[in-house]
Amino acid sequence: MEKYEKLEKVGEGTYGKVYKAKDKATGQLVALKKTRLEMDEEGVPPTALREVSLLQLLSQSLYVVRLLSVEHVDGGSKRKAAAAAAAEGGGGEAHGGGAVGGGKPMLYLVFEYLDTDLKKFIDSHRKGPNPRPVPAATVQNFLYQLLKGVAHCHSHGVLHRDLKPQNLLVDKEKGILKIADLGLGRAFTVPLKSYTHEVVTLWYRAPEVLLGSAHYSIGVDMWSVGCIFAEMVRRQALFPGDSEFQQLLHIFRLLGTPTEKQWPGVTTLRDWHVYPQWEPQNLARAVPSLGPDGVDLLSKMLKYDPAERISAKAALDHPFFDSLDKSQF
Amino acid sequence: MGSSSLRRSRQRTLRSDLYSFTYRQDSKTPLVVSVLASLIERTMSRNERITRSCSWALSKDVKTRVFDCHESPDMTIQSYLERIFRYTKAGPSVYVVAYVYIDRFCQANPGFRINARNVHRLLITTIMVASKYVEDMNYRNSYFARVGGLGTEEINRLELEFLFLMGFKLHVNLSVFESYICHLEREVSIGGGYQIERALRCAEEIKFSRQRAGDPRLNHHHVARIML
Repeated sequence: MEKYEKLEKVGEGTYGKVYKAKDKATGQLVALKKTRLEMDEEGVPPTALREVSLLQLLSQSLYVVRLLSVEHVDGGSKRKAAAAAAAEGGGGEAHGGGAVGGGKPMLYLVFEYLDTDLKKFIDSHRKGPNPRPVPAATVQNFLYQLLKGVAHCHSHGVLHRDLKPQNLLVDKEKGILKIADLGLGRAFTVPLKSYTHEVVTLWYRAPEVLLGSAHYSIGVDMWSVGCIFAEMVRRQALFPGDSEFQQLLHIFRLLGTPTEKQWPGVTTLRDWHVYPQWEPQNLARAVPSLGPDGVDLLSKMLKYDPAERISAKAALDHPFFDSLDKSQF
Repeated sequence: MGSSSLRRSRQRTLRSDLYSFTYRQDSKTPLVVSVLASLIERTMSRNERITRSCSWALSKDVKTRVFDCHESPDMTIQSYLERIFRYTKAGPSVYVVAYVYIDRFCQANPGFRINARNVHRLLITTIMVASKYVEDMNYRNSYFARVGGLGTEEINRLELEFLFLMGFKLHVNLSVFESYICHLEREVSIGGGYQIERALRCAEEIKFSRQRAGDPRLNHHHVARIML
């Protein structure tokens, strides 16, 4: 890893730290995601394993963060798998190298660097000396890019399962948004045991997941996109629950308590209980600055029945984007 | 009942195993395990024949030697896979994905040949990686190591070597998954090598002995179930 100069720590994940760094040879800024390898127990964490393989599959999209390479540092030796080479069918190449990381085995994921994320971007419009709404054109632009990225994932049979503003990287200067952090991502095309319910940060978690559905699909990502869309407009979370139960109540208070008519099978889901009966509120009141087309698109993303929820591909053709110059994408 | 209808029922069983496996603690070993064992045994036999007839066909790839053990384990592939299934309860689709990985690994490393010295390590590694990739709940490497008869450090090293030699190409899309299921189904339809032939013979014997005894329970579904 001596080819990179670490500049600063920019974050910390479950398995290690994330650094902003510079490629000494080219001057290119990169993000280094350091993953500790627990050589006594777990080996390569499933999240790292999935993230690398999924990003190799998806990184050709402009709207998914680019994985540049994967490097294994193990005391006295270093080995590198060039992401581009692997994506084109070549294997990783092995290199000798100096000892880095004090002899502890590490896996470094080398990403392109973007200067901020959507959460920080929204916060900068809400807090600080100059609070102001996120411009409508920016909301439209970022949402379109997010949908392009999600459509790309789904067309390759991949669910992201952890879409939230913190996982959407932003280049403020160029107005670019990219999906990152596919550690919870998974293929939805392979038949499996029941999926885990510990997916998606609470505020962006779809009701079918909260209610313990054994199987879910692209609808979980589209619900998250709807929550993110509303958050860009409101500059605060749409459903800020602090427990699974409270999260459901937040949703039910705004959208009404779901019924069998609206969502066939809802009352047979594992965690369904008898909930207070709320009537649906006017969604436009939750996003007052959003026009009718925007409210219509949001309502389609927040449909209770996952089968009724709009797909990313269909959302890209929604009238909300009619005024957008799509030639730039 | 003819052998062709037996094969058809086994093909249906293979597919229904993959798409609606029950995952109870007492679940019987899914058919895919036997079919995979059969396929790999035939591959090994073919490799042995090739190696005997031309010495240049020996595995020359230094990078893949990490999978070689000093002496061949005396456990059959069928028994080894059954043991892995019994202790890890990995779903049937994990075995299909592991089979995809083995195929990709061999394509990415043309000098590598599956043989009695490397097959067990390759299987436990690919099944562990496939389980991590496709399943949401996983056992730790240390547990897989115990199941596979390896040390934890050893399985960790095999995992890393495997991932880098594969270039981390782990994604399996639906069309690829389906094509490998079809390949496994073809294996069933041609008799499926030693394991499946033995199962078919066993089922036929049970059927005829029941017929002689005038067993009224004998029907298509019952025979299909006996064979699993």
